[in-house]
Amino acid sequence: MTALAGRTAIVTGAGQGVGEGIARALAAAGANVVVATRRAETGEPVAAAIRDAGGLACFVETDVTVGGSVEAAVSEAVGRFGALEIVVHNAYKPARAHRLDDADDEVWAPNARTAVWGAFYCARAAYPHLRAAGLRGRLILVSSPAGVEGSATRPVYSAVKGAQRALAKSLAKEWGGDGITVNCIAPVAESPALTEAFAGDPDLRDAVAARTALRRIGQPERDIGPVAVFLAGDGASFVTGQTIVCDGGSFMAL
Amino acid sequence: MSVAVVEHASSPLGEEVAARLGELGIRAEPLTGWDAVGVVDAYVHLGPWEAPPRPGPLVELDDHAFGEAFERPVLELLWSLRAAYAHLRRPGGRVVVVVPTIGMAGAPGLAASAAAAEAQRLLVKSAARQWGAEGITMNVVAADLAALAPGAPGLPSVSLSAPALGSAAVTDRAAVARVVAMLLEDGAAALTGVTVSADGGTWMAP
Repeated sequence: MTALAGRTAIVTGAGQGVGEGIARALAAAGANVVVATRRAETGEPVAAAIRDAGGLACFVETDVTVGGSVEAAVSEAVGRFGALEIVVHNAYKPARAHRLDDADDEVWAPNARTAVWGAFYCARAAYPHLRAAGLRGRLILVSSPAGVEGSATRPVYSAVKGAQRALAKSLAKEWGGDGITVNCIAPVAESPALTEAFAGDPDLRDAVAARTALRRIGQPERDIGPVAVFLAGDGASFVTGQTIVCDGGSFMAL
Repeated sequence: MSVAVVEHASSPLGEEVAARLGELGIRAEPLTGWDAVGVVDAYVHLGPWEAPPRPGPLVELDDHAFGEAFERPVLELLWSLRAAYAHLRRPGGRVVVVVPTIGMAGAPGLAASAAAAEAQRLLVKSAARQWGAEGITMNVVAADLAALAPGAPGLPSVSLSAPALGSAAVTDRAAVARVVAMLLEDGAAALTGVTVSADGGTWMAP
């Protein structure tokens, strides 16, 4: 599949879980992929695996909570591959379960800094290049169904994921004149955070799966990656400001 | 219900809310601090939307401006809800938070503020899920930004259709206040986690 051949994508948080699945899927579709993660020990193997599979990829150490770090990643992507058409902001630092009445800055800061400030930094750094890409320009934010329906266990997480959706809608309107599309994916898929949650509650995996129409939890590369490929490709050039919920049919509000 | 604590009570909407609550026999107490507050029937959070956000492209914001537009309103609500929690009557306590519809619809030039509004709405939904077991209900009233912030920048309509109740209804602050009051009445006891759009019939999704 070469739907994205010659295009360059940055995927933040691509060292594992959903981000890794998206990075692998974009690469399989022909995109040059910058695996933008904080830690080389997770990012390098993903980039290497993509190269081993015949793709083009590199790892760039990136902390999405630092504007300068995101700017450096964007510069590296453009310097190495010549342009930047696609940015997928997936990085997120999982926060512990909490009650809203106990939420403090230790809960707020990592949620907000990675999800919302990270999205802001990605948008600000990438915009000149996405604008230059014109109708191929894409910003994709990885949100969550919790950003639509709230969360009984992680109120702050749901708030920042909702904020991402509003950012996407607003930027879709701001950037639409340039031909850039901005969308969200709201997945429920295997990830380190979910694995950790399952480890703490042996019945949770089955309970989550049972709530979905498809009776299973998503696999990042197989179930979420193709949605990112679609949003990044020409077939989605008229789709913007939307949230695609990829959760196996658990949440069906719209 | 007899006492509702109102944050941002001196805002134009706050004055309308106090008047409507008075008609229902509910005393609206401006929030000046929680230390002297005992058990309250309701907490109404209106802010900080009375000050119109400054429009501009998101990518032209520096970190300080983004923090002011996004983070400050969300944290204000988060810390306020935390403080209010200890004072809300159980069962039967009510929380109503007023947000602009820009969070649901998106707003070009106000992306950071839109993100803040939507984050506020999700905080309320999530808290509704957590505090419901204690008999506390929490709801959102979504109003046009111009109804909350006199002098707010004009925005493209969020709907292909004209406002169902006419354009004057979009900024009818008294109507917004009546919806806030309605959510504190007995008939609203079964509503929680709900967003009621009080914008003259503009935003009708989903």
